[in-house]
Order: sequence, then C-alpha cells, then structure tokens
Amino acid sequence: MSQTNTSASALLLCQREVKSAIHDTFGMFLGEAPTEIPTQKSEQSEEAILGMLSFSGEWDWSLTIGFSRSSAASFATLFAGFEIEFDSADMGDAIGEVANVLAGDIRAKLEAKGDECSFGLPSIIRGTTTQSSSPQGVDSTTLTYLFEDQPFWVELLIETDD
Amino acid sequence: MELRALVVDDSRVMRNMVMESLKRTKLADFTFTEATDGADALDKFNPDLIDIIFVDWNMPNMNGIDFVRTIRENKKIDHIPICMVTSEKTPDKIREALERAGANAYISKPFTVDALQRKLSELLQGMEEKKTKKSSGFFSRLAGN
Repeated sequence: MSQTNTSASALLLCQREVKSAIHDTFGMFLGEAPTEIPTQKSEQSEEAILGMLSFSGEWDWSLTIGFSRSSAASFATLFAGFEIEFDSADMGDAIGEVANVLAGDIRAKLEAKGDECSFGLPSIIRGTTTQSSSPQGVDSTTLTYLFEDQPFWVELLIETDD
Repeated sequence: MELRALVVDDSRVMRNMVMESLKRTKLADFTFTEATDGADALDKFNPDLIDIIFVDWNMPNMNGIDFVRTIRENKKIDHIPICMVTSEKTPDKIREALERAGANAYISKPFTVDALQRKLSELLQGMEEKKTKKSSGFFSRLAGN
C-alpha cells in the first residue's frame, strides 16, 4: 500500500482483496462462492471457532475468520473432503488451513497490485461468540457470508495512523 | 507402479487431503510417510525408502523451503523429486522454490485432484527419463561408447 494511504483507505483495499479472495478461493472448493450478507450484531451467543492470521507490510493488520458450530462442520468437511467433527482436533487444523489458504490468495492479490506483505502462521480460538469491540488505535470491519444457509464471518483489524 | 511418498505438513488435515488426493490420481500405488515439519521430515527421510516428497512451505521449526534447500545440498539424494504444496502463490515465491531452492514442482492450495494429477504425471515422466538416461549411460559405458 502506498505511503499516502491512510489506515482507512488501507482497510478498504484489504477488504476488497479479502472479498475477492473469498470469492475465488472458497468458490473453488465449495463449488460456488459464498454470498455476502449484511453484518448484524447477534444478541445470542453460540459456540464458535476462529482462525486468526496477522499480516505485516506497509500496514500491520489481522484477519479473523469465524464459524459457528454448525457452519464449521459443513464448511470444514467440504474443504477437507472427509467428515470433521466440531470438537475434534482436526477441526482446529482445518479452520487454520482455511485461514492459511485465504491468506495466501490475499497476499498474491495485494502483491499483484504492488503491495508486498507477509503473513504468519494461523492460530485457533474456540469459545462462545460475544460482542466484540475494537481497541483504541484500531480500525475494523466485519464481512458476513452465507454458505448453505449457514453464516460465517471475517473480521479485519488494522492499526490506525492516528 | 509403487511409489513411496513423504508428505510434510504441520496440518494433519492437509496431510490427509494430500494423501487422499494422491490416491485418487490413480497414477501409482502409494505408501506414505508423514512428517509434521521440515525438521521432522529430515529425521524421517531415508532416501532408500522414499521416492518422492510433497512438502508445505509455512511450518514451525523448519519451514518447507529450508527443507528443500537442505535436501538439494546433499548431492547423494538430490535426485528425489520434490513437489511443494502450499498456500504461497506469488510469482516470487514460486520462483524461489523452483529456481533457487530446487523444488521440481509447485502446487498452490487449494488444489484439485486434476491439478495434482497433472503435476504428478510430469514428475513421474521426469523420474522415468532420469532412469532411462542413467541406464543408457551405464550400457554405453559397458559398450565402451
């Protein structure tokens, strides 16, 4: 990202490439690209699994992809080609790999536009979804998708230039 | 044809995906050795028992590219074909793996069985050509040519 970019415009650029990578990468192994839907804050808490990755480059930013118990099971099974249960160690492995594959495509798309970056190894968090808020000095955006009527979401966090 | 493959990836799910996809190519009867990173792969690698290697790039302890370099530095075992199977897909990374580190093939994740079949087919052809060259060289030497 060029030096003249603000964190807000960098976040927009990341968001565009993330959307494109979700369309291309997930469309490939799901058979069709997932549908983006408006993000709504859920009042209900539910079990979820999150895959997180950090990017370093002109801007430091992170990507978190989250699945509920039900969406994780069907998503991971389609990704791997064999059944994966939510509570198994393989589920963490599969969601980490999903995050990793997505990051690889995002990086390639950013680099094709002249924005070099690198990303780290994915980490996995399991727990119950709660309302999240960004800390000071961080801009964020959340994208929500539907796949086989099951939602999953992607949250991007970027440090602000303030 | 029997093929003994070393599959290196820190994700057990991905190792299973690679092994299952290789079986589905139906290009060989596979037996597998699994390793969780480059260091583990070096420990488990026996050139007399491995015909081909499939290795991820981003792994803890020793990453895939360092593993490839280490194998290629040893002239006694540098004939064994190595295919990188990785989420890294920028032209620079592909060049680094194929031209500088010495991998023979490169597949980006996610991959299809068809894509894997094409790459494996090329690798097997290369292995055959090497064998033919080696034996024809041997017979030429016998014949005094």
